[in-house]
Amino acid sequence: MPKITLNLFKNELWRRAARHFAKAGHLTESADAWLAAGHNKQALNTLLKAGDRARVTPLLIREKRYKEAADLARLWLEELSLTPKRRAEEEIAARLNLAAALHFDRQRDQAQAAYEHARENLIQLNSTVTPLTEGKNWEALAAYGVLLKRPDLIRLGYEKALAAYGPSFNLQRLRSLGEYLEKVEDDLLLTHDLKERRAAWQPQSSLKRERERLWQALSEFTA
Amino acid sequence: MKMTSLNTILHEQAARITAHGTPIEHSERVYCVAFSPDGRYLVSGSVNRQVNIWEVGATELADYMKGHTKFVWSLAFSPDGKTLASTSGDGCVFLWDIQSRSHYRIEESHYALTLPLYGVAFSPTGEYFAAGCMDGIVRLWSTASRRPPWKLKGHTSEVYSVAFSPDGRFLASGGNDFTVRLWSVADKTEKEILTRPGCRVSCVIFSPDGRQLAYASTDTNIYIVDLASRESQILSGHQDLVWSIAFSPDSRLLISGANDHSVRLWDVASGRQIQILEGHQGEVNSVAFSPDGKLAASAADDQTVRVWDLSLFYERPEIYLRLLADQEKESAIDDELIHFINSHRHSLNSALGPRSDLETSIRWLRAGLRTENPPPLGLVHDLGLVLTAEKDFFSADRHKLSRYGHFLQTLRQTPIIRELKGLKLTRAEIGLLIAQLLTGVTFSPDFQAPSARPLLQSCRLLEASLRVDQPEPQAKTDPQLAQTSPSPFLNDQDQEMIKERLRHLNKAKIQIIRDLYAGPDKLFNPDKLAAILPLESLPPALTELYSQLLTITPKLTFKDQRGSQTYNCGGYHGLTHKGSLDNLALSEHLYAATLLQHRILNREALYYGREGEREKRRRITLIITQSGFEITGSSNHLARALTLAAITLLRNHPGALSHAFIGSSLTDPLDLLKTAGRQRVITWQEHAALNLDASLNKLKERLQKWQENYHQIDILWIIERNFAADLSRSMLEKRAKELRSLSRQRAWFITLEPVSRPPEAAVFFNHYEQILMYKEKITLL
Repeated sequence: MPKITLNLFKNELWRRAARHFAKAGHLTESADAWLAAGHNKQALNTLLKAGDRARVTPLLIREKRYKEAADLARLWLEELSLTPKRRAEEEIAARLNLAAALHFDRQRDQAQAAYEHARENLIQLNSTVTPLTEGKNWEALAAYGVLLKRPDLIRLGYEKALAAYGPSFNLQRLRSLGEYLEKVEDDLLLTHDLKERRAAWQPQSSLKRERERLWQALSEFTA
Repeated sequence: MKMTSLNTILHEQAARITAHGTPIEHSERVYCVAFSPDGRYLVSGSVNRQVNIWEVGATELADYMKGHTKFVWSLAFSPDGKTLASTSGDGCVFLWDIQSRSHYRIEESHYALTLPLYGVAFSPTGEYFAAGCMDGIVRLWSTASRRPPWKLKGHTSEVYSVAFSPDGRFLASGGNDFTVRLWSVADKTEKEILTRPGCRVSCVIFSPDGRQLAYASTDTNIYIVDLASRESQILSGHQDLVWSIAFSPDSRLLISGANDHSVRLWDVASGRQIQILEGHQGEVNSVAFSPDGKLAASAADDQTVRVWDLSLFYERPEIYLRLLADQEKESAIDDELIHFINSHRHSLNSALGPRSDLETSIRWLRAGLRTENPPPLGLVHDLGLVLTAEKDFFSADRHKLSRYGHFLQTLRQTPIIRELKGLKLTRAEIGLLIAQLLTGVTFSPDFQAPSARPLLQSCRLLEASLRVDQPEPQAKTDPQLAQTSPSPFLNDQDQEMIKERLRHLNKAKIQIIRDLYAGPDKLFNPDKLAAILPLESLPPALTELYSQLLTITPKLTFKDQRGSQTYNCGGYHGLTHKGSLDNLALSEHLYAATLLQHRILNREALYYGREGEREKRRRITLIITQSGFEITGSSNHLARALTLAAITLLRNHPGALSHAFIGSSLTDPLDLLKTAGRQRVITWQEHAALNLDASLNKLKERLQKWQENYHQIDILWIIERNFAADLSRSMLEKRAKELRSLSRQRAWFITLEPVSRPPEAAVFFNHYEQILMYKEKITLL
């Protein structure tokens, strides 16, 4: 089958899947399917119905609906202030999304204020939260960098997140690394470096680990 | 491992309750879950403001109840199972009649409860119910009268959880103020406070037998307090905040759910973790045991409630015991390894001792090798010989060689080998080359111990392989190798890869390493060496980035060299060429009397250029290169390569040349005309974020000091395009003004994609250029 037909066929399948998911009430999966089929607007509407603010706000920004995005981010922040779980990472993400929405809406001063507030929160909270939350906070900064096309923030966010997760949260570290790789695919050197890191961080069998430990011991012994 | 198989059993039995066929609003985070006392129903509350009712065993929603206007945070059944209490972010408590699905709302307007309510619990007799609130007050209601509540005041911050003791005499509450408080239900007064500084209490429960009180903390631990002795036991294992815990009905097991997405089962008596129940893809908010203890439920941010079948623990207690035993074994493995190393220290020493070259090989490997498994030492040794041996050591008769010997001989015949001789490489540099050749090579499983082999055996195998005395080269004297096909160490593909790499190695690349590192053996430092290694393991298109940049150096010129004319000598040169009278000073005192007389007689110039050697020394160029997290990957390499290019460009300019890195701070400037300065350009690593304000302050102080010694300071910044983008406009302008008043600024901005608008930091500089690097093309804009 020609490639173009295959793609059409695939997209049609995604569209059907999206409708079925929505019918069954699985809105997140439905939105994912719409996104896979390339229908951002439908995905956006579905996520709006599901109330998934974390995903809707960046999508609204991408769709250039900046005012709606800013309003939603404000509502998100208000609700977060009532939730008993201190969702530091969500709070920071909400502020950063608000900053991005305001930035694109040309309200630069307010955007700068929201961004600075988020950065302050990020630095303050990170001294008190667990590495896992710290990692998520930095990833939120990276997501902001993606919205604003700021490679420095993307790198800073992900590098800090990877450092925060460390070997104790290897699964999260590998997931974050995967996302990082997707975002910086144009940067060949960084991609190369990240792939090397991924290879080193891939979980090994316990036997391999033991062999490595023994090797290390031998090397130190002989050095 | 056994753990895995048991995990699988549990997972296979775990049923996932999904929102299939339910109203759309159900797709939201689930905050709470509870079993009805008869074990028939499971209820859940979520962000979508409704309470869902499921029949245990079925996967479809039985019913749902609406009423709350904000998220439902906590649920509790009355002991008779007829009433369900729910608390919410809207500040209301709802009492639901399970039969009729009707509800009684404790109106917020009545009690001015505008703040969210959190944990809710019924007393064992059902006489009371209590809830914690955001204002730090525990509210206690009489179920029958539903009159305004008793307010138990004591907490200084939010109360997240409440629980009644099984005898109904006490109420425990825990919250954000690091305390668990015990209240007497009869006289509504505070009886005791348990404090653990730094531990916010997210959940508090009594064990069903009434002997213990457990609370979960935001420090990732669970604390179990023996109520008789007040001794506490700590359950550690979660990797993030624990948000919910529950005892099994027989008080033997404890289940916990945390922000690390895991649900864990604990043995209460020993305090050991028995099992991690994995499956949730979001933070776990609530856990609950069914009344018979055979099921557990967990609710999470991934919008699911999972039911875990734990009947295995009751029906087959031997599995429970085995799980506990496995935990002990895990910790015993480390001890066994340490014991083995200690007891075999002597024999390992004798195995490695006779061959001094092995030690060198290990040093080489440690310096640069980053392969997953260490290669056979014999191979490293032979490659070292291939690269360094003065004479050919192979038999002239090719037919007598084994495949491995043939492979080594092919390597030996690569043209670069001859050039290496002339370069007189140090051991460190040879180590780098070997590491480069072997990076990514996977070694034959013959060398690795089969996975089934126990630890001790695999250690012995390695020991034996180290004992094998491998003569130089192996092929010449080892009859086994001659017969083996293919080689036990390397397969054909890897051999080809090594050959290819050696073929692509050229003198220029080796020279780059040598120039930049310039490290004789006495400076041998494996860490520094490893830092250089990435230069040599770049993707092919970028391997020659640095050399490319050094070749394009002439293109990087300073266009604004106004008034920078310098004089190589005084006298005629100063007067007759480009000097002006303003720049000249009477200088007869510089000449010896006889020479002065000679000059006057010959009508030669009596003026001397002000900018003589002494003046030249009063100029300085400082190159500042950005480092740290914000400039990693291509940008980082490009920045360093540009720095090297700038050094080459400015080397012959008059005055001093200095270099500093800017990142979390400004490094002390280092003289670039010395080798150590150039070395640092490559080896300096900073894993920190940019602290612009502090760095600029430091720079300002440095420049103020320099002003005493230098009359002209030029700064060349090599920075990322978004440098200073996060400074506020007013701060940016203030800093720019300060810096411009102290020195002349210019910048090379590095960018990975073309952007039309000028960089935010452009205001800092008199002149700037953007240098675009897109894939392997380097373009100067």
